[in-house]
This record gives sequence, structure tokens and C-alpha cells, in this order.
Amino acid sequence: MSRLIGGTGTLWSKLGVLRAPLVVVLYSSDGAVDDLTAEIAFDTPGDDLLLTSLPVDLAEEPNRPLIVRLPLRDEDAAVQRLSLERDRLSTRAAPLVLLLQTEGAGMRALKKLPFLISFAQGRIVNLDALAVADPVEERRTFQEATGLTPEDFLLQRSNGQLPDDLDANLWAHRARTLVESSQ
Amino acid sequence: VNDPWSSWDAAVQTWAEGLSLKAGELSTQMRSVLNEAVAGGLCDRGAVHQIKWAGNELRVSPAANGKTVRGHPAYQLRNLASLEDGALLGFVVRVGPKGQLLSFTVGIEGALRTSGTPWSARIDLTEKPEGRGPCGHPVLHAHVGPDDKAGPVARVPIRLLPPDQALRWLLVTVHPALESTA
Repeated sequence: MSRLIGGTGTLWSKLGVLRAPLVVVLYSSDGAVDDLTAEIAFDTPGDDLLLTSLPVDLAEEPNRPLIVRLPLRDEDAAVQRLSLERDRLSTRAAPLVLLLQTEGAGMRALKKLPFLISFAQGRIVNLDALAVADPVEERRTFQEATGLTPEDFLLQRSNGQLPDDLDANLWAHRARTLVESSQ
Repeated sequence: VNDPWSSWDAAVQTWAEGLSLKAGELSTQMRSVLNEAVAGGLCDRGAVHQIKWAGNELRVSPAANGKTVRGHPAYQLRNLASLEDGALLGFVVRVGPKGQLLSFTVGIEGALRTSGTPWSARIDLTEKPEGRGPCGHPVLHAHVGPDDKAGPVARVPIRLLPPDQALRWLLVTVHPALESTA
């Protein structure tokens, strides 16, 4: 399953959208890509980007990032059509962000189109990989907030030394995740 | 004598382990409920997008406009029928690798408009029961009452509510007008 971590600003910079004419984002569930597009649309409101599906006019609005989600049943053909227009990518100041299903027909087609894929300059991003939580950072944040290690937090909680309130219960879930991930 | 609390725990665990939640779908469901709150003027428009996955946890993101006492991200609510402005809404949902529901907390804390008395309601799903009997914590339960200092905070048996429905139940509890918008 795909999970996003960090705000869109973080995600946006991880995508490196300003540094390549083409960015390919792989997703494994419709919901995950819905999350992504909703966040991007929210954080980049109004005229800053185009969120669109086919047909794609690469000559349109070359200064605005163009985020394209291809229809699943037509991913392969859509990538082929895009390949025919690939030269227009170099005329764009803002990138094309192409959302493709992980291991889908579009990605398989793209792998066979080296001229098109070269525009990505290695910018193929897997949402699953982006969303992996950093346990060291998570633990640091936890201890900074609670003043306790996750292990001590759970121990104090089970001993009734912590209040049974919303705050303690929210942190308890993260403590469990951290303890389990360190085992 | 059959212990009703224990048998209920087993049923809840079977239900939670049998779920097959997809991350994107779960966040979409939570957003949908938050969207109702936004439409009702109960929280900032941005609340719908201020949730995030971190590993296997879906949480309120640090961009939200509120924090609990130790700084866990939460939403500050306003215009609630029952609670004063500034009530906090927070949640965490943990999902296993197969989409099973591991645990969650969804809760609201605030002060009653009528008296200023602290009031809280929270639904917890835990991986195992904490304590036994009517005042223990079955794996799925709700706490409803002033707060854990003033008491009594009733541990309320509750239906098999997934996190989004738990969130909706809490919001409707403190703002019944939302019920008519569903």
C-alpha cells in the first residue's frame, strides 16, 4: 500500500519536479494517487499547476507543471501517444508529472521507450518508497515530545502513571509502532 | 458464566483482523468525514488535507492547527453545538501489512458550552484488552465523560465502527447538525 509521508512541500521537493522535464510517479492504489493529487492541488492552488487527464497538450501552458493521470485501461496507448510528442517536452519550462500504476501497462510501455524515459533523467519515484517512515527521526520526535523513550512510555502507561487522555493514547500508538519496529 | 466482555473482544479482533484496508481508501474515508466538518464550519478548510501516512500509521499532520498537551498534532474545532471553540480532535490509525486494522484512537476533548466543564469522548481499538470487566478496557470501547481527573468517564461498549465511522460518530455527538447532512 502507498502511504505519503511529510507534507506536499516535502513530497514536491522529493519529486524534484523542477529539475527534470518529466517526472514519473508510480502508485499502487487509486486511493494513494487520490491522496497525492488532492494534496498537490490543495497546496498548489489556482493557476500554479494543471491537473488533467488525457488528451494531453504538451504545448499548452508550458510554464505550469502538468500532472497527468492516465486511464488504467489505456495506460499503454497513452504512453505511446505521449512518446510521439516527446520533443515538446523540451519546450516546456515546467515539468510533466506522469502518474502511472506500479508494474502497470504504462510503466511496461515506458521501459520500451528509451527516448521518452530519458526525459525523466532518473526521476522515477515510487510513492511506496517515499512513504517509508524514518524510525530514527520518529523516535527522536517521540522522545522530544513526551520526554520518554517509547519503551518507557508504554511501561509507564501500563503502570497507570500516565493520564488516560487523548494525548497519551495518540502517542501510545506511535510508541507501539516504534517498539515493534525495533524488535 | 460466559463473560460478555471477553466474547465481545474475540468478535472485535476477528473483525479487525479480517479487514482489508487500503491506505488510500482509508485516508479518503477520513477526508470525507473531515470534509463534512469543514462544510459545517467546524474546522479549517485545510483540515481535509492535513492527514498523513507515516509507515503504517495514518495521523493528523503537524500542519494542523492544534496540538495536544505533549504536542501530538490535532485539529482545533469551532462552532460546535456542545463544546466551546478550541476543542481538540485527534486520531491515529494503525494498519497491518495485509490491511488489517491493528489499532486506532479517535478522540475529542474540550469544554462544555453550558458550564465550561471539561468533556471528552474517545474511541480506542487496542490490540489486546487492557483490564477486565465493565470498567476495564475491552479492545474496542469508547470513553465518555468529563476527563480522567474529574470522572466519571464511562467505558462504553460500542459497535464495530471503523475509524471513519468512529470519527463521524464523535463529531455528530458534539454537533448533531452534522447528522442531517450525511
